[in-house]
Amino acid sequence: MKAHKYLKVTILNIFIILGIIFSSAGNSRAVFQKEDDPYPLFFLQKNLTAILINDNISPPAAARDYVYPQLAAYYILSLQVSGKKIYDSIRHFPHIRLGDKEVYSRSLAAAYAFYEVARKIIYTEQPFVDSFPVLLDWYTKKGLTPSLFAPSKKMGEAVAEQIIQWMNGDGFIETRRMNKYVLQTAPGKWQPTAPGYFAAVEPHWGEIRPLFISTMNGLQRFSPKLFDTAVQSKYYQEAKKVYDIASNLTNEQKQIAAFWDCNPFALRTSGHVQQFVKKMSPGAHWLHIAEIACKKKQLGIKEASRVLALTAATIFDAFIQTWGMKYEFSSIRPETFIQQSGMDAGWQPFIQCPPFPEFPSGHAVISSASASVLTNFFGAGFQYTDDTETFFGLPIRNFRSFKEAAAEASISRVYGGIHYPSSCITGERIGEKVAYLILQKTTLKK
Amino acid sequence: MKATGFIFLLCIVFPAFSQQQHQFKNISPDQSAITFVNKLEVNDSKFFDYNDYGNSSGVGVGDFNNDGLTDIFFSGNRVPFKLYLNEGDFHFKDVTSQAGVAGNGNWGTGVSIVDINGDGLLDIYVSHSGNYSFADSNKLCNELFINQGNDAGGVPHFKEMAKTYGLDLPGSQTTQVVFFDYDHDGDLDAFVLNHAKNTYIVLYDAAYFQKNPNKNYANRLLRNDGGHFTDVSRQSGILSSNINFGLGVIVSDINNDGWPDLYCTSDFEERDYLYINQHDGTFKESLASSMGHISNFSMGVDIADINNDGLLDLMTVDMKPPSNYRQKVIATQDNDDKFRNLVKLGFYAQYPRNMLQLNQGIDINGIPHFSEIGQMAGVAATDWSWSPLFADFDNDGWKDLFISCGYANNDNLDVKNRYRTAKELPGQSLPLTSQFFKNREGQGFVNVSNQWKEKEESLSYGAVYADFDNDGALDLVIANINDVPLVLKNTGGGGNYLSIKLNGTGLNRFAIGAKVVVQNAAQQQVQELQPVRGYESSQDYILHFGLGKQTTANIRVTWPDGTVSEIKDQACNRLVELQQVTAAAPAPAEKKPAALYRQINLPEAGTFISKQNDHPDFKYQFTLPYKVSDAGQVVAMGDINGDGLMDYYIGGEAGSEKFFMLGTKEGLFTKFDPGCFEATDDNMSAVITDIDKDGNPDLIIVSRKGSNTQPQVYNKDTIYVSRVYQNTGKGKFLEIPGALSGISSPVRTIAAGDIDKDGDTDIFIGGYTTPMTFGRGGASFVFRNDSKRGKISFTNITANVLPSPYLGMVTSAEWKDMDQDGFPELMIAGEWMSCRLLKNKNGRLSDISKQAGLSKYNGLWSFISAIDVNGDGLLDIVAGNVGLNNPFNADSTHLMKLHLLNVGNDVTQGVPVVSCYYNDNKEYPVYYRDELLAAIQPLRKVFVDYDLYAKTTMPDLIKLSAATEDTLLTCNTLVSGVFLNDGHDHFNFLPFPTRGQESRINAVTQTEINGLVAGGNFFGYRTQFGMEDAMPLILLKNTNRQWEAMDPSVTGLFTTGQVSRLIFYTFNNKERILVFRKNESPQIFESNHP
Repeated sequence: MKAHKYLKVTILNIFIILGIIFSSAGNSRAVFQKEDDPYPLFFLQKNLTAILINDNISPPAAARDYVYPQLAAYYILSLQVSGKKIYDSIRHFPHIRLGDKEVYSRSLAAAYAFYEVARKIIYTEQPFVDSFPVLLDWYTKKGLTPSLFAPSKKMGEAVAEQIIQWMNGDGFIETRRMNKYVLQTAPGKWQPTAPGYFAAVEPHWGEIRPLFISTMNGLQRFSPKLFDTAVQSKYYQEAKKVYDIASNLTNEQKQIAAFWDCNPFALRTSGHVQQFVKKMSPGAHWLHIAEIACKKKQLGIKEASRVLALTAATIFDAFIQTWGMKYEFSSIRPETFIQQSGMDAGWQPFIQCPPFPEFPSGHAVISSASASVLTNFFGAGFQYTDDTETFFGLPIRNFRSFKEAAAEASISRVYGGIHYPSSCITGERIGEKVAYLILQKTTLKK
Repeated sequence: MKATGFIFLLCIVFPAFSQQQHQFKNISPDQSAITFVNKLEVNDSKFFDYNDYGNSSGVGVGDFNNDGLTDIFFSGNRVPFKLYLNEGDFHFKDVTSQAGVAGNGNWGTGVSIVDINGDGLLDIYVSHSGNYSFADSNKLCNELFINQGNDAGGVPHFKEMAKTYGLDLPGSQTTQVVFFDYDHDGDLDAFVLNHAKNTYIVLYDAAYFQKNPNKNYANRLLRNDGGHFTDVSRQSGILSSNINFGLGVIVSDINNDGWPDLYCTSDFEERDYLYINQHDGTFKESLASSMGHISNFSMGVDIADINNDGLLDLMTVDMKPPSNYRQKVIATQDNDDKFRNLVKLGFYAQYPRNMLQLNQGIDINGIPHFSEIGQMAGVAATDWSWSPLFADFDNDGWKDLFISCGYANNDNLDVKNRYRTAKELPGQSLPLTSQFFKNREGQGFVNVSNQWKEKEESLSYGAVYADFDNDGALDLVIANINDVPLVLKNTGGGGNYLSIKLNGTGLNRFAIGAKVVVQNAAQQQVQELQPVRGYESSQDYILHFGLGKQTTANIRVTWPDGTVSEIKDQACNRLVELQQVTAAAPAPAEKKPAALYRQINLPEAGTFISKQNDHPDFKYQFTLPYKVSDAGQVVAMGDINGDGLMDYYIGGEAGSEKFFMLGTKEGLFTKFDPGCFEATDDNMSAVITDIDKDGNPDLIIVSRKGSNTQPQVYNKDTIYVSRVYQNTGKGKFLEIPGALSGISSPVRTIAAGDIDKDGDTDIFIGGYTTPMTFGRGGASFVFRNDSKRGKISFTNITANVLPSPYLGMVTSAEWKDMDQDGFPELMIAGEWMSCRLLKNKNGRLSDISKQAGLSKYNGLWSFISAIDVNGDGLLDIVAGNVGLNNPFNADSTHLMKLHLLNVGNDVTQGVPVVSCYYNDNKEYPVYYRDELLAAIQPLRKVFVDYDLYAKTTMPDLIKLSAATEDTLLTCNTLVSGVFLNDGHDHFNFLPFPTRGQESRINAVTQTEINGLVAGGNFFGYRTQFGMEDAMPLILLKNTNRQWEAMDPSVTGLFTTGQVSRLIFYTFNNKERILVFRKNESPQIFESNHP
């Protein structure tokens, strides 16, 4: 009993002492120097990416997992910024109630908003939750006044709650119980591919509520090449082209194909042993490129948030349009055609074919849409070094512009052997169109 | 040949062995001096580079120095081979270096012990594979150690001579070689089981892989031409595939024609092969005619007569774990599309579990027919398994089963899913306990692993049994990776025994291929002398027979050349030697009694296939245990043209033809289409009955409305229609619109009967379900026939006569007067419910299921009919159920449950979740993690890894998902059987014998002379459960509450596929059975005994 009492007292003393130290530290700095530091956003995005990779989230679903947390953070950070807001152009964006006027840190409130929305949206919460105190610690170390923590948290959570409610109405929940993809037997229709022969993912993603583009307005004119098995046909010749290119890759082409592979879940199998090989999804790759650009341009948190939120929103809408088309046409992958047409029955592409229909190339759409939006903000000649894939054992690549990177991402699918050139070229057109429609509604520059 | 009539026992009696006294005693390496270890680095990259890595090596036994003691030889992958001479009393001596059998140091695999040159000395053949390039093909040479005889110290010396014999096979990736005399020329030929170096992942037409075969990967047949072996694979019909991955081979005269046949397994996508010897130097691959499905990752194989019926049964082992935990941590989901695609491409129906193929008989074309009963027999799941060996380990006259288990790589998904790049992979092995199963006198097996031996986990592969200490009990030696072999001394099961040694002649001195029958008052046992059995291993040349309490037996040996030696009343407990030189010519074969029935060959016009499509039910309701959209073949019987001959209506799906088949004077049927049937109707059920009593039977059909484009999905928007066709008697059928109206929900069955005893037929229509409403049966209907003066009319009297229209998911119904009061009772069968009896009192129905003794048997009932099965003048209720050959494991204390769960939001409502008591008496959801998570999205946040899901019981799952249980249906009875009428509105359930539980029963008919004929099968289960295809037509006879079951070897009633309906009738005073099957043409069997 005595010891216990003593212990209690001691702990209390320690708290008191710590409190004094902290408050005095806070007092001595008086002002939080890092209110405009974009670090918290990058920190959160990186940790979110880690969870999405762990959970094998498919590319379209991953796009959704980024956009709502980014918009939640952006909403708070945009509050005292003048000019048109991104969400002003989102017809169904909720009217956010902010509650009591209290003094809080916008940066921390935004971090909380991101964190709470992301927690709701991801599956494996624990590692993400465990990483958050590291960020709080950063705020403490950088001198955020202790009394601001609670009101910032309250603000962030209030916004998060309303964003989550809005998010829950986007059709995602309903699509979970819609039917799985029913294989079509007609010639030219998609078939599962080696080695996993997985079912086609997200056949109803086209039914998710978009942010800006409410219909396929202006996008209906895009369609795949007419399926034809005749050797002289354009279709066969294009498949032959994929076969010839992807079977005779130069080292540079191989590097490009691997760099832009962006397959969240490739199955490596040999005999009885399987391995899962994971990479960032295409959307994640471009959001991290956006982060690189923000860092290079030394943007403050408000501007960085605007860049990330609009890039994420563009990717989200682009995926919805892409997926709608993918399942409208349900096109066969080149590898299946190459195998079944007798061109080369045992052929395998250089990179693994992800499990969904071919047309259009999602990566081409997402890359060109992202590049268009980023170019609009950072300019046409923005040079940067992409080191995002080093974690996966891939080298860095230098680009003279976002457009150059997007073009490379697009052609990488032909090198990889998983898309027809025409589906990549059309994909680039679709991406540009999506970006154009979005930028029309919301210009990135203030 | 008759399967004995055992009444099926619901409880299994475990043999009483105390924990301390294991029947098998572990002999330590200190005592045995057997210290061989097959050392192997356990590392993922090794497996990636070479797919046979981790498949280990074999063992072979034989008396190499002819001292009467069985010696042991081990091959190894990277380590020198070892030869141990038996010095008695489980002490062995390593004589490898004197004997000169250490091998060439390359990758040794299977062992075959054979006297290849007929000098009476056993030689050793070791197969080789390994990860060598083609430039290194000299390292891929098999070795043949020819026994040169003993030195002065009694140690045999060997000389490696594979090349001299043409048996070195440079470059080949060989798993095992088996020696046998396939052409009956007196010398031993060789079958070489090879495997591809790496697996192929592109799924393409199976035939494609056979076009330009790599002979180093493909299996080969080598003919012995005077001591040199010639490759005759192509001309002898041996299939060659580049994706062949041979892991097991066995020779057996599986069709009892005196010529050796072959079965070889193949791991991965390529299927196993069954080669039937054509007696002319060629083989015919006939797996598809013989087996409904096979193991997917087939490893070792054994063939033996497990039920002492004289027919040889077969077992392949695979990798399905027995525990719920392991099942759930290694599988993500059911890939139904992939399974169907593989079948379509010619790879056959393959499921990853052990298969026990019970031989049902050999048809008139010499093709054996097997029923796969592994699940029912209790041997389907033993995790990673290599060597199945059937032998009588307890000397009771019934062959028990040993299976070696373990793998040098762990397949746990959580390990694989960790956030990392491909390079950082831990090396992990999966040690397991090898398994013993005791034969329950031919009625299945019971796992006695823990009773028979100490629990010990190892990576066990090749294994051999032999009586090493000559004490009359079979001992075991099991080879391990990275550990000394397990040496198990059998302390005896207590029964008597006979050991039999065969001395052959000429170049087959050890009489490979001889067949021995040991018979006495208790039983008749058969064994073939084929040492290569199990996995990469060679068993002893001395055959061992347990005799139980019997002290004598007659021995009959049929030598490879067909001559016969016999010993009458041989006294037990000794080694008996028989000599081929004194054998006699066989007595002229007794004329086999003709089968009870023979199949009538139908002319072209009588054969048709009413094509039925696969419905994508699982794509809509992810957790359905089975498809509910398939109605099977819809048929209705009746004489529609009044010529005294039976006709029938053939129903069909939307888009397929519907027509009559009219009986002809020749006893056949001819097609007749009155042109009135709706193309877009999807028939559910039909009945022919004379509604208007004009003497011309009319037709009623209930259907769903479909479209001509398939596949079709049926949901709440589906329209149901019933049509009444009035027979004008002039070959015309007029549809009477609106005669039966108001059917708006899913229905499945029609039954006609005169409910009110007014002389006309009234109609019951049973409600069923759709995928989206599974678990909630639709309404049933009763219509009273109010037809007058040729005007057909019905009145819906459901509300007046049925206690409730919601009777459950009704599958089958019949009106029969059970209590002989002139008013017919209504009997109903259905799924997740009991059979129900609605007693008819003056036209009003009351449910007496409970007092009748039916309500306590909840099943997945698929068929019901009133038949007096025991001739006591009272109608009994014959009821078909799913049987026991499935993974469901339900009984009165272990319920299988169907929960309809509501989780979280409005979207996840009424999700059907099936749970079973899979093991440890705990109730688990049946699904793999990713499937259940797809169906109940909120669970994705709960089960973030496979480990937690695998540990979660059903009650915990409901708690963790905060689900509310909308409905709970249960099932405690899987067996089919008869409810015997005691004459007081009460029935006693008598299940069919074991043979009647091999599959779902969809139809039963009563013949006049022979008893009941039952047929069934059902392919609509989740891929994870597999298809129920084990049911041929079984003849069942009931006398004094005992069943006698006769399989097709006696009855001649061979069939395949899903039987929907059986019709018994007579033609020209001969019994006939008409068999309707889904997607296959009908069959007619006629009695051979008028």
